[in-house]
Amino acid sequence: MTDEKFFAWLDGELSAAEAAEVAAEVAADSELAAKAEHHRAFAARLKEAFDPVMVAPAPAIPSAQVIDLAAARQRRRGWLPARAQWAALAATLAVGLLTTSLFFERGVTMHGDQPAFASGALGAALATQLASAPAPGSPIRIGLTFRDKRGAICRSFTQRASSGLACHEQGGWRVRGVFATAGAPDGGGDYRMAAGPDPRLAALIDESIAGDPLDAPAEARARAADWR
Amino acid sequence: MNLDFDQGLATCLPRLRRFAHALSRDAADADDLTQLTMERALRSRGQWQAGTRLDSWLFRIMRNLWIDTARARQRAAKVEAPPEAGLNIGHDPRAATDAAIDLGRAMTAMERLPAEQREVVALILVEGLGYREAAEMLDIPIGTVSSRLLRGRTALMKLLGEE
Repeated sequence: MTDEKFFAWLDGELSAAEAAEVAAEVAADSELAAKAEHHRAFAARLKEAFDPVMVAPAPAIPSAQVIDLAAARQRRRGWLPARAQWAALAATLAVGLLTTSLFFERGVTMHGDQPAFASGALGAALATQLASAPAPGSPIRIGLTFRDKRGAICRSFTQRASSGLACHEQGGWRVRGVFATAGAPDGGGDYRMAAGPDPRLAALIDESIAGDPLDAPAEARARAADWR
Repeated sequence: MNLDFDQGLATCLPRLRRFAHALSRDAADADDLTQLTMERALRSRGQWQAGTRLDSWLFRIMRNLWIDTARARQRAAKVEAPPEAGLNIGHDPRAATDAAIDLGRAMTAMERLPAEQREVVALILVEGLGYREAAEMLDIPIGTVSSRLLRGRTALMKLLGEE
């Protein structure tokens, strides 16, 4: 079997009859079967590597911070040493949000001034994870859970390179803000969380929160009540 | 209809950003490319035919913008890239077979693929397009897609130390 045919099969590109033929051949050959498994897993991980980009970005940037994009870009490039790739990545997260907020401000979307909702892994973590019982293996950690001044449940979260705040609205989690996390590469290309919350996130929480954050039992009760 | 167009554009934005990250050498370039694509799409909205696939149309705009700048970027990258840029690749201490791939590492590895392999890998393995869709978008025969994908994914595995 040619490599092209093998991968066409792996990628679901063959007709049913051809696919069945290849599948039988692969099943009968442990080396081919291992290769299939290896490539399948690799393709899945490659795709997952880009998942962080898919988390709905938040356009909820206070308008005072919506600055000229070109100026922001210029400044950012001026600041950053070329080798600090991780820093560029983290810093541009914030600029990416600006970009998106500009799109929204131009009326590109039908959401008007209603910003993006969390989706994917973030949406799932917000809906299910408890701060008091972090999910092992989840890249997302939940920080505070509280009610905002309109009575909606809000939760702060931290991912690998960003932290933010989302509030429960219309059955989903509307992202109120996302901020790049200052961190340091640990040599292996990973990010380490900065100690302490981002001051911008802290400010956003301060201006949203009504009363005290929920304690662990109250958080669990809120989840049981579907965050209403 | 403008409403369809606007709504579609908003819906496609996350995927466009992902495609931009798969093509670009860093997140800054990816967001610039996304921005440029949105601007171009808004200016050219009259050229999109309602009823045809908006995502393919947007991907094609993005890919063409990327190609327009790719040669200049590659030249610039050779000058600007720090010599140690590639050294983090393939030295992940974790077991290669089950370690998650970090976005930065994935982008650095993709960046090292020749452009014609990178775009095929980005469209098919990252964006999930079929071979035929990719061939139509890139205006190349399906056999060419298949052989570029084979070379691209094999090289990428090596770059990420997974072979």
